[in-house]
Amino acid sequence: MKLLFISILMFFLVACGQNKEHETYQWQIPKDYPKPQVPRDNPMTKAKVKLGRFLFYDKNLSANQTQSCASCHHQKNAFSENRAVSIGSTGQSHRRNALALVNIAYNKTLTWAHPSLDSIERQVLLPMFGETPVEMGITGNENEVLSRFKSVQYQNLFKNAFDDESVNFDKINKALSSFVRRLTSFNSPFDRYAYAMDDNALSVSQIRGMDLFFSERLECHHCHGGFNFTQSTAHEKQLLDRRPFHNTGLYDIDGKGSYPDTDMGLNEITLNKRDMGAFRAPTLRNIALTAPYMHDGSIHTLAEVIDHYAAGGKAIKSVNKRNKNSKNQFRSPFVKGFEINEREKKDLINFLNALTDTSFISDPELSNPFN
Amino acid sequence: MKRFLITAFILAIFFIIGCQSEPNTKLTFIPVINGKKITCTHDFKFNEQLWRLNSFQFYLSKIKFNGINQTVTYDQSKTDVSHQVALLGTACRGGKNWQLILDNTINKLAELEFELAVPFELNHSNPLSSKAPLNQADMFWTWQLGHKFFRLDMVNQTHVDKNWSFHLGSTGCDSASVMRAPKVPCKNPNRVKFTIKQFDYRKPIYIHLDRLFFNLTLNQKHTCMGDANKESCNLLYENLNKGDLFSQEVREVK
Repeated sequence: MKLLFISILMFFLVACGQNKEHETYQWQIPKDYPKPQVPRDNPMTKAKVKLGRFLFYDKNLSANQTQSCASCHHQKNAFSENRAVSIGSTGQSHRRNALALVNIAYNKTLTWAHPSLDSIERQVLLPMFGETPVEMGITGNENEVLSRFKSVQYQNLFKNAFDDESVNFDKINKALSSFVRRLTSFNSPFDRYAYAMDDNALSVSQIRGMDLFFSERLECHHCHGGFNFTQSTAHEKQLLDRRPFHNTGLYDIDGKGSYPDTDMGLNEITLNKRDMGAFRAPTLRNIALTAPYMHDGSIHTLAEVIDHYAAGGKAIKSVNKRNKNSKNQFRSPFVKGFEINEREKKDLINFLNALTDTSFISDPELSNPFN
Repeated sequence: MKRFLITAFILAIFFIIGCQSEPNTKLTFIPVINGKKITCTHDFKFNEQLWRLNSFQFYLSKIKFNGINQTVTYDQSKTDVSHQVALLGTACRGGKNWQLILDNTINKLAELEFELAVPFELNHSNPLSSKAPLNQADMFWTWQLGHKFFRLDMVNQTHVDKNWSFHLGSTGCDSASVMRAPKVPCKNPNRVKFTIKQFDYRKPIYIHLDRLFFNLTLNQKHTCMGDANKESCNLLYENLNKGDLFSQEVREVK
């Protein structure tokens, strides 16, 4: 009878309690920073992150064994690629620039322009199985690819991560996602100045640049605000999600705001005219390492990016020449152009350089484990 | 055995009740233009032009009923939250929240007071360690200026390039840089107090945006991001200080 009594008590205590499933994982983030949201069916564990790291750098994951995830996401470039667009394992060009994998655990949405792709687990499937373009090229070669992960080393890694040494794509996906979720970067000079209150962490020029960045004149922070320098964020303490997309005035091929057929951004998914040329603002953390810029890698340097925004979008000039029409109905109201002198531009670039976290790009725990 | 069963039953009831929320008062807000509800999904007409909401959010604090301070409450799944401040509204493509829950039960007419603002002592703290909803990045300027108390972004559907925004917050804040908090209150706190004399807990509170726009031509030139020297900002502050933005009366104007 006492047992029944205790059982009833326990039942209600548990029913009122919180899920503590992944509380044991030690995030590599500063104290008091909010933790990312993690899906219930893929809680973070050290073992999964370790397996994911091996898989991330293993070319055996591509059908023809020529590429790994790291082929397009280099640690030295904050896990981006220093070319306009990436080229898949079979030589096909991607139409978009490889995004830096920096703090994407905090992204509300993944990839450049998709309003509902909000799970890293689903995003990881695209380079693995996508056919337009082929990236890893696994589709049609599933069994052959899986057969390459039966070594003793991988059996141990899978067993530690999942209590079971069998290999399947669900486990590969969960481990890769866990490693990518682990790619957190919060140790830039800016962090030391803003959050660790070290007044000497930024130079005078960088502080001037920071003040400009957050000014209403330049309006950078309207799209690149918040602790992750993008407004598209979510974390465990955030009550309301945010998933904004912006047209930066990069193209206007007909004087009516149209983007090239090859990439019309969010409009391709929503089919909403208002979403023409709208893309998610990526984080600016480590931005100095992730050139070239914009969704198609069409701008080469930070100085040119500033020129683009100072002009209110570079499409304005080109359209003016052809159509004498400088109005783009889809362009973000925050991209309206601004005056900036050479010293201010230099200050702004110096500030953007202060967002580089050198410990992130040299962290041995994130490097190629096969080296 | 019977005694054990009865005790267990009573405890079970106790825990079931413990899991449920306390009685409380809900304030529901509805944005209207000329008495007509506006949403993110439908265009609305103002001064013969069509507009669409892109974002409309605001903070309320110092909420009082008959002069007594009230506490904002949340359902039990929300932890680490501020009970002094509520964030209402929508960012259109993201989540929305038009209801504020107070932990006191009000079941008769009462005088309702609140500030459209974040109190100074909470306004300039580290947003990373702030409790929700003060950790909402799109409602934060910098440590120097603090939070945007009110944010309204509208897209003009009639004329290209004539979008309009109003972001309200404290200005004239003095500190070493944008990432440092001011030690003394800002020159222009821009906190606006509202009173609804005969608040009826059974009725929603309407936000009359047409009263905010009174005498203002909505276009990009008249966007206001807090510049105290800008004519449009001064007009908006004047309209806000009339105190009639929030009311429980609504009449649709054709």
